[in-house]
Amino acid sequence: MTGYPELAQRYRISSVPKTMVGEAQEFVGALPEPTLLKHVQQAAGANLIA
Amino acid sequence: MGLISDDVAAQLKQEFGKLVNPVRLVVFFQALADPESEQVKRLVEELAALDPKLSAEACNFVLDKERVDALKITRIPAIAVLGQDRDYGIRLYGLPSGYEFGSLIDAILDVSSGDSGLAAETREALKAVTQPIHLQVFSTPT
Repeated sequence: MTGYPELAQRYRISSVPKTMVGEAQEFVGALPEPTLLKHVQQAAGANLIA
Repeated sequence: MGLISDDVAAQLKQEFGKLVNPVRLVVFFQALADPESEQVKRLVEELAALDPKLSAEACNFVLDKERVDALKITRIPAIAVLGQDRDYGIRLYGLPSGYEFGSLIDAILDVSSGDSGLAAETREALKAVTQPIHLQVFSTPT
């Protein structure tokens, strides 16, 4: 994260590990697989609307 | 003196015994602009030398524009972990040190097996997702 300050700023990274799913879905730390899947589905849905 | 110690090399050789299909590691570097990328290149070349199923290809980020574009590399240091005939889209940026070295090894093993390890229900649900979704995990070297 310190190596890529422009990305850290763009995705508002203040703690790690942080995951971006698409451009809007985000979470910090690890998630159970079904919750991660929901993020992916929401990101896919957001893309369809956009 | 290599970047990978003899002890770690011995452990990795054992771990790479699990490799199923060949894996290609394409590393992008530019020694002058980013000395760290030169180190990543050396690391990847040392890794690839540990098992005949692994191969390394070093590309200059500025000169090898065709490879940069084809693999959609956006910054350096970068490692693309590619299957024999398939690109699963796995890219590692930065120096894979500490915990991230483990992530690189895991990525190699996953690509080699062609198995994400996801549950059957997850795979089924993902069939409905038809457009590419970009997943980015940010970490700090430990």
